[in-house]
Amino acid sequence: MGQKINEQTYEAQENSPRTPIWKFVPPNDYAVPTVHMQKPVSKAWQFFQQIFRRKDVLDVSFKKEYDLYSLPRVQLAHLVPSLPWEDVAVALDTALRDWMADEFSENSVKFFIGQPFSEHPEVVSHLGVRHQAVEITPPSIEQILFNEKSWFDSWPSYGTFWVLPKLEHCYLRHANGLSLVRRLLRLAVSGQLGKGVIGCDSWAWAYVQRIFPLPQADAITLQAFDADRLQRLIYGLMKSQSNTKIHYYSAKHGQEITGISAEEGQRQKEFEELAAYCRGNVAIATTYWRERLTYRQDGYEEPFDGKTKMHTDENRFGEHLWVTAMPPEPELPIGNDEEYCLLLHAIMLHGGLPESLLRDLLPFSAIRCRGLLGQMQQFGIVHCANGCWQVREMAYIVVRRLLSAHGYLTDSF
Amino acid sequence: MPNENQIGNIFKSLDSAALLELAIIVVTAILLIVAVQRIVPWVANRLPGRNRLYVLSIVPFFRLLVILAAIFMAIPLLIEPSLQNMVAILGSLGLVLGFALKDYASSLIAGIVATGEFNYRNGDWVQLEDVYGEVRHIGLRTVEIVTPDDNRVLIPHSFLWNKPVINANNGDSRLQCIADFYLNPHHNAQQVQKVLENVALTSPYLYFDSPVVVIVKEEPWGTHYRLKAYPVNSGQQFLFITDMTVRGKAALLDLGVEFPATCAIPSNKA
Repeated sequence: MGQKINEQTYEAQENSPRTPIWKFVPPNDYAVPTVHMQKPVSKAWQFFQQIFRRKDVLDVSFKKEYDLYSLPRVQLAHLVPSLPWEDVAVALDTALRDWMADEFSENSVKFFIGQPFSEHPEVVSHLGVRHQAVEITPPSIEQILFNEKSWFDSWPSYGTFWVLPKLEHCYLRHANGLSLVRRLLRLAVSGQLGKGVIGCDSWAWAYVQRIFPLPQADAITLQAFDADRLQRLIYGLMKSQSNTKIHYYSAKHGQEITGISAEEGQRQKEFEELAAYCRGNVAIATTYWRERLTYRQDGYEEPFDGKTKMHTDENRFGEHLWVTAMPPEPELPIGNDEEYCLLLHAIMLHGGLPESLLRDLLPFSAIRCRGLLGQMQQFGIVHCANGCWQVREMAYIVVRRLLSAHGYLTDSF
Repeated sequence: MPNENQIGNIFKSLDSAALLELAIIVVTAILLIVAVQRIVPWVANRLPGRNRLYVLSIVPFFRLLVILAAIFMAIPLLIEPSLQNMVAILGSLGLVLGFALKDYASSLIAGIVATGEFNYRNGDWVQLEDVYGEVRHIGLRTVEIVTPDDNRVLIPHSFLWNKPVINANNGDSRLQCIADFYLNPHHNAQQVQKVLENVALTSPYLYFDSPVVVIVKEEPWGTHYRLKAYPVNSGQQFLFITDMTVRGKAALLDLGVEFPATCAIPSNKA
């Protein structure tokens, strides 16, 4: 199945004379997509909603949305499969081809900055496998806190290509937790560790820039997904998974938003809004797309307010799905805003943290920390995966907005 | 100076319609002021950082505007607004204020000056003599400060005329915090400086776009380190200083640095 996804995704790339789907740029060139014309108005409206915390204002979807049913998880995973990170590694490999071939390159290390949930460790690992590189595992907590030089023994001899997929797990926001990463960066940038690629989360990158400023030229990131690339990617994924033709209709106004019969403007608007809302983060955008897919039990017989074009011959066949409005944003529990911010910020800067470490890094007692995490888990803001607390994908946009509004350090994406 | 009868002639005879109009003006002004004083802080407290302070600073301006508008609307109802009458009434008023309510009037005028000059705004952290706290309300006569110990202190604006106003954040949402460390002089100062810098850089309260600085001063009793940094929000200043002090002390102890055994207070201040 993986092979099929690759082929189809490339097909989408090849068919388009426009920008390639997986495009890499320096972090400063990351262009957050915006919704044309509506930007100031929608921003003001969002701001107004934030102040008054009204739930009902978000509920603006089509009145018959209650007729729609969520798709089973298995079917959703089939319709919108996980993103093909191996393809990203292939594209990254192509982007780094010249640098890799140049034995006398000034920069012996490249940083690959990944937006949250964009699986940069996986991409860097795949890249390492393609080049038979030595993959460096992050140091243990003790190694970080005691600045143990023995960790550098895991590096290969000079001349062997290496990859370090998770820079965010190489430091701790602790008085003794920065020395090791500073040493690593100093050695890596000066070329003493040989040639390698370091993967780093965008939030960790923002923090690393503050504790050990690095030249931007050595870093690249996946360009933000605009409406056009996002649409092409989702079509590619759809095609790769099913031979049946799928028609997507907006639950808001009943018009088709994908396929040949869909109006270009409508299609563009839908993806433009999605890309802008997700700040060009492809992983979050596909998650939202997946969450918004629903079906009607009565199939496609009944037209919606006479606006739908489902009765054309072309649309009669295939699967019919409805794309609902953006799901309501999760809200923080009332009170303790400051404590929630501290907790969320620590989680974001470290790319997820176990509870025991959160207690050590934050000025909270164990009971307080547990209580705060429990409350936020209940509200769908965070979850614990493999003993590590992380922000949920569906809450990320809200969390980023909250931390940014309160003046905390955020990523540039 | 006009005699008693002349002053009496200045005022219009008030009929029930004029009284009603006057009452409406006064009640409307009061309602407007009360509404603004409740709604604006409510909205402001839902805004983060600097926006909160901007919105809060609207309150005294708006109140001043409402009062002035009410006075201008009420005067023609009470007196005939001719030049002669105005001079007479203002002269009498000046005399009364000058003798009987001198301090009160001084505070009122200082209040207008404070509003115009932005000496302090709602949300600012100020020190007026021995009182340090957050400005919560700027009234016509007094400024209300809430201290870190949650005491409400009312200070007349006339304080401005001859006393310094120390404003820690001056309308910004951030202010500089200082954590002091007093060490036995036998240590590696460069190492301590780096450790203290790391302590600030790893504090969860730190605001990154302002600098972190360590100031070192040699004193007769030891070495005085001042770790200066800015928290994300001015309200976090005491938590931030506590965090830096607690973690700084632990880091310094790990380093094997000793704290001075002698009293840190200079002899001339003991």
